Amino acid sequence: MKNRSWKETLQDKMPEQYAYEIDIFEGQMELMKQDKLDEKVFAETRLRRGAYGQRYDNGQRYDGIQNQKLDYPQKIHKGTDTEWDAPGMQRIKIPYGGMTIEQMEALAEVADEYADGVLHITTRQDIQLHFVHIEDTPDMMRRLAATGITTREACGNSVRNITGCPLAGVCRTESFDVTPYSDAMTHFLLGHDDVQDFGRKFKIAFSGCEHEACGLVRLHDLGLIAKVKEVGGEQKRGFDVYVGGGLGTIPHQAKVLYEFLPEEEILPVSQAISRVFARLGEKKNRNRARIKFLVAKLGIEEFRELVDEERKTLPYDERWTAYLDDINKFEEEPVRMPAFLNGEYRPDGFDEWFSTNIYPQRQEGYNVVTINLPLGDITTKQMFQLADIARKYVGDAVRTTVEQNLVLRWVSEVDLPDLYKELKAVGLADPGAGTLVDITSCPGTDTCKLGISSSRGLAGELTERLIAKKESLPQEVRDLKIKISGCFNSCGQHHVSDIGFYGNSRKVGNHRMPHFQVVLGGQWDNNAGSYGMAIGAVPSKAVPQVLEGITDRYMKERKEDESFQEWTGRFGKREARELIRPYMDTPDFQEKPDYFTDWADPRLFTMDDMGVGECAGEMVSLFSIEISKAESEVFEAQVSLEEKEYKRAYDQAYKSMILAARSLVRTQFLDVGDDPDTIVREFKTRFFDTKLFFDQFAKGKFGRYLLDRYEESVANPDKDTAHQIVEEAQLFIEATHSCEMNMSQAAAAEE
Amino acid sequence: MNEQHKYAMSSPKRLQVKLFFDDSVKTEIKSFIPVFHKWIQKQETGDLLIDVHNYSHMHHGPGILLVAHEGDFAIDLADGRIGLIYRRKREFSGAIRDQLTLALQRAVSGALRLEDDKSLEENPVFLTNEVEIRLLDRLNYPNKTEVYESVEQDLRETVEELFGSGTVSLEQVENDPRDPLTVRVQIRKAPTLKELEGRIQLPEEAVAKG
Repeated sequence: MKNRSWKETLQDKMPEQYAYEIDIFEGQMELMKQDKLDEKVFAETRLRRGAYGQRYDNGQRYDGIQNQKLDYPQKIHKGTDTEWDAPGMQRIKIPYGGMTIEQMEALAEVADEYADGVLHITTRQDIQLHFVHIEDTPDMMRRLAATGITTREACGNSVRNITGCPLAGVCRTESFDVTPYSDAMTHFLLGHDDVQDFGRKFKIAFSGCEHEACGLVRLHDLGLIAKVKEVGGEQKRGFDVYVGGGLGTIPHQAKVLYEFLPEEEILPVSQAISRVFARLGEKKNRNRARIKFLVAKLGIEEFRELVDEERKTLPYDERWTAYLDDINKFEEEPVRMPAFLNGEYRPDGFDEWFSTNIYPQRQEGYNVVTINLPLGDITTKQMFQLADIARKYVGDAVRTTVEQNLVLRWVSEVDLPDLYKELKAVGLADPGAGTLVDITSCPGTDTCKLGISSSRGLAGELTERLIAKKESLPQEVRDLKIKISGCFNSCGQHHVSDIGFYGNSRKVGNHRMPHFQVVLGGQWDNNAGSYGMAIGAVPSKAVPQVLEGITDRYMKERKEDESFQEWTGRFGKREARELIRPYMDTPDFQEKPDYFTDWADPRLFTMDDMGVGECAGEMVSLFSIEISKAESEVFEAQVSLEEKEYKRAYDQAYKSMILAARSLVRTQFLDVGDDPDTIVREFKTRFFDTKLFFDQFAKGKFGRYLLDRYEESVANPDKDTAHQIVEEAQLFIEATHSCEMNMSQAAAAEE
Repeated sequence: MNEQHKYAMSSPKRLQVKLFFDDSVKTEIKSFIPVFHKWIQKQETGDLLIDVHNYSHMHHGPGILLVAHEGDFAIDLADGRIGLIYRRKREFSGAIRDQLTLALQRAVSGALRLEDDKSLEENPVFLTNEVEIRLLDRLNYPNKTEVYESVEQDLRETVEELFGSGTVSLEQVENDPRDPLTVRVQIRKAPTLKELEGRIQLPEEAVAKG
């Protein structure tokens, strides 16, 4: 008996658009398996579905003795030099970190059945699953879609997960709750035509207040900080808008684009910014393709003028302000009545946990509880258990954080001792959230193709050591933040921590030794207000001693009330380098062979396992991405024909022609929209009447296929009619490719 | 449709078996990291072994994970009980009995390797009087009594072939309904790992794939 499928089971439970997109992706996978799709196009397509490559997916791995070929059974690729069967990472967008209990349970289920039973919280409030086979991703996406989660544009050159302060709505210092705005922007830009042609990724964040860390606005491509201003005697909501920030190899602080942008303007302005970025941003050199380079090149004034001009030309969209009528729906209802602790029994360990993991909300009697996750990891079982705890105490008020933790909001204070006991029973009551022992780390060499040194290995080692001696550490040291990246790309956000590390290596004799560059004095507060200074690289195995040396010196020399950042500023780079100099020495292999291995990895250190990163996405044209959807649709039509579903085959074939025509029209007219009438009219005017679409021998024959079907649709197609339109659609798509190629060649010749 | 037949009986998406350590032996969990790296160097388990992942920092987590293409191994800490799991993921389309036989073979063979590994300061000792089986397929094998009853005979006959007729008792673990269907097998007359290894007849499809 054939097993049931998730596609059939969940068909009516998924939002129609989500279901359709997943079907298209599955069709593209099938085309790829049949070698009917370009590898680069498929790679960018899968990235835009959040399906990312992982270390060793080129089929090579250093095993400690030799470079071993990983001989996967299927000899096909899912991207350039990327084996089809190689385990991959699935990134799942969690907009502003907000999750419902139902979503938590669905996430746990898919982690159990398609990954390794672990859910990893990222520094962008996403959830990542590792060791996932590409062929499992459509069903995984369906199960998530049935709870309202999409993985669309979680990777690739598009708008990534929009982050927001996890305290939004309950914060004591915010101007107002930014949740509805981040939600509106998420849905407005998701799949929007104007964000499909970027040269690189685009990251957006929302903050409720300026002086806290909040959403880390200043390190984002686009950041918005809530502001209330009196306008005409009324209190008006708006945002300070920042643009052009970013970490990466070359960190940039975002510039102020607008000091107060009224709330009704944030969506159209984000659209205008997207258009300017898509039009003028670098497309060929991916190392300079982020918007920060465009802003730096043009200057903020010229960039602002371009955005202002673009804003004026935008066709009106009712979605720009429609959500404002519904803004109250984001107000959370507490599950329990508010009450204060009043001499109740406090279990062992409670006071320490209370001192670091609790944030009193502005709503009296309620608190935000931080679940401190080691290295951002939570098991499937723990996620189920946490869902039960959330159901009992807070309902759907759960969010992920950029410090790789989870928070429960709206916990009644009187419930805290019982909640603590329940969290402790399932291993989720580690104290020290947001302190020295709560280390942030990117995946590094564990799974990332770009990782140089083991950031997770180092983070795990430091956490273990610091927890063991935390009682002896002064409070000023306990309050410091440590953030670690496996390479210079800064996914661990090392630039904005008190003490940061990023991976690199040095050659010593005939071997390579893993190292970490030490970065001191970054600012987490003030929305990541300033970046730290790199002072030198030390061997990875020396980092625990380096950390001790730095914190000891800080305690000896700090003036009263002097923060770590102030101290490092006073200290200066030269002096700081002297501080770590004793640890920079590199012993030779015979003296300390363990220095030539990385944390929790006995293999001799190598950089041979690094691969081509996929963070930048593939440089493929907008046309290539869009026409691949038409190809997938016509593939589905062929399947329907095979299944004798003639009406469905007819409709799918016609839709594939519309999609193909749209992809062509959009090379000239980006705003064509989705209306088939407009698409066909524009196609006819621009490509058919001008004969651009004509074939040398067949002339206008292929273009006629679309125009004829448009003029005369068949309500109940029989087998022959369905077969005919499927054939026509295939030929129309081929002709669309030819037309686009001819135009590109002509344009290149003119240049 | 009869409730028993509502759930299809092709192989589940994933099938996992766990052999437990004897608690009296306290092998340091991180010491399995280099052991698994050696397994990758040798590639002798029959699966394509890929990488080792350290999850020892997690509460009742997968401990030390050896990722493979067809099926993962892990020194697993779930429910606070340390043991070796083998989780079959791919490249097997046979009946559930065949899939279970294959998973048991991989687990038993893996356990023997660990017991015999000379590099460990203290080798684990495996219990052979208990096996835990998990069917990780919530669509076709939901965690329900009627599903367990529909699959019990296949599981029983498969483990009896290995452990001896009349020596095993099976029960559905009363766990969270959201967990995968889990079956505990108790063996009254426990054979040694070596004896078990000698008794396993791999299904043809698995033999063909090496």
